[in-house]
Amino acid sequence: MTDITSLSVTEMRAGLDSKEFSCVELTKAFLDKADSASSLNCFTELCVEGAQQSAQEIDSLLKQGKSSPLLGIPVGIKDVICTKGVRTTAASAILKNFIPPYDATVVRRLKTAGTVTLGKLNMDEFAMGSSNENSIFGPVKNPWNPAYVPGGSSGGSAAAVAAGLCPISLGTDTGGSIRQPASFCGITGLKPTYGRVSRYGVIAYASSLDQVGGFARNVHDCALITQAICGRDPNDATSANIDVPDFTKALGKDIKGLRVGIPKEYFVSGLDPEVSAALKNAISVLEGLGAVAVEVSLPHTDAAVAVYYILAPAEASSNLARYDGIRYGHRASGQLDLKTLYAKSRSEGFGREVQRRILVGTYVLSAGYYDAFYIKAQKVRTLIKRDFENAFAQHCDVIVAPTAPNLPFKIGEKLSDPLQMYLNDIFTIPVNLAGLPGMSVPCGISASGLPLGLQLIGKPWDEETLFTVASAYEGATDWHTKRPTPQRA
Amino acid sequence: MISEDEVKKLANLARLELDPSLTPVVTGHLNSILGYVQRLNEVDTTGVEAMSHVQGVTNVLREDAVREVGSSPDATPLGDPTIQPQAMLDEDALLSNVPDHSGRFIRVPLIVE
Repeated sequence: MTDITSLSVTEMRAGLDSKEFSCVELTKAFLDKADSASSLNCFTELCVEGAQQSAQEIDSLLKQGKSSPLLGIPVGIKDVICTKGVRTTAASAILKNFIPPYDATVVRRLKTAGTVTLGKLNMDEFAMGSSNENSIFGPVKNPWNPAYVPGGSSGGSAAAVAAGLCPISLGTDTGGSIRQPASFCGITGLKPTYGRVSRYGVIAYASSLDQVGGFARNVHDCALITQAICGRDPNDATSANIDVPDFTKALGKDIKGLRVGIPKEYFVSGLDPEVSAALKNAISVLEGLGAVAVEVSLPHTDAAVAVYYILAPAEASSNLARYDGIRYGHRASGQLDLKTLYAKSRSEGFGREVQRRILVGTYVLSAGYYDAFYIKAQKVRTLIKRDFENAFAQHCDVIVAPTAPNLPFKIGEKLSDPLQMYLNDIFTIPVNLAGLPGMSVPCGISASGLPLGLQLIGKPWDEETLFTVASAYEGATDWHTKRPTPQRA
Repeated sequence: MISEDEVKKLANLARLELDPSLTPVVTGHLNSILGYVQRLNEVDTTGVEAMSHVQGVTNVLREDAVREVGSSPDATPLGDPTIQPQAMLDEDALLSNVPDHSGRFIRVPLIVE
């Protein structure tokens, strides 16, 4: 018998509908597998009872002949997304016992679509990191080689899908936190246009950049999970009142004549030669499918990481001011005056990277520096957005780029130098700053046996073109079929 | 360049208690980050507007109306997909997250003598 955990969502759908296996059996297979792969450290919490209960409920719907694309499909949820009654920590000591009293809108939407929540997925604390090493639960390991990082901050979400511990998962992306781990783990991940998906119930990091998106092992499955979470939410004023198209209709179309922009600024010195070669190969594949490659210029690329490391910490320092040890979260013990209680609770609760970003954010927002840093960064953010607008208006329909400038790195390798870690997001950050949709699809395996990702960047609200290009590329290559060999613990 | 004293002042503003032995390391990291972001000074932003919202959304308003606020039913598979405005949250669920409370009251340090 085939391993049911290795099936695509579409194959699982067929198996469930034809009663080849039940949702209870499918759920159990995944829970068992998660258990056996616990050394990867993907999950922060497994919802064994809750998942079994949902699976039984769904089996009775299936018996009544009910069906829907995601009915009975197991999912994993990044631990920054609130799940009613299920501990949600943002991988931080400050929230280590937090039990949300409500579901995030994306969780509500998935539950309504009929998914089974297997558990919560490990991440960098408060989504701050590019390696999933900043977590109170410890680092997540890359299923392709456990000595390497899976990327971050949604490292657990990516590693779990790559290792077959769940077929699809949710992550969040503020500066690359879906696309970079998708690339490092050899799977597909999409960050939708800012405003496409509700952020209600998602623990905030940098609200003007955060967006929820899905991970999957193929483009079609990614379209299904993206479809399920998009749409206006009265609880999030920044969620857009724009129709959500049927993304599966964008799949399987040809890309003849489609103009693919290659940003010349992305071929910088320091780009790993294997990354560069994989990108060139991917471009030839797209050309072979009839697409036309054109060089485009995004002149402010070099400023993007600097803009991000002003704006994101500024927003984080305000967003994280709510963690004061009073109403929820960790409170320092002892007879303390109020100010000491705040400071002790926060210092005991926040990890080093989080404290570092709060300090940077406090600095750039303080009197005397606000104009020079914060306002300046907001102006350059306008210029970065215009770079993309010009490229799309004059030259191309989609932009392709590497997802990350380098291969996955070893656990511990970049921990001592925060700036080097930040520069890992050089190709993903501009997309968040411009509010655009971005996707990473597998496009190669390095000589050292680690996966590489191709990034597709679209116009605002044009996830469809990303799905079209990704699906055409997937049809012409077999990178998405490559799986890590299970590692000995 | 930011000094160790300035870092201590910032920590106080942010209500963080820095481990004194780590202050030099933290100061070094902040200087490296703030040094890096200085490169924005080389970008000409004359006449460029500071971005306030990436999609240009300004004020999102709704009718100021009285509505019944009951409890929100849990999402069910293939149930009603409409997302309703958040209803009242369960008091017990909220209180169970409070680190120190007495009945329905949150206990805090004495503020006014």
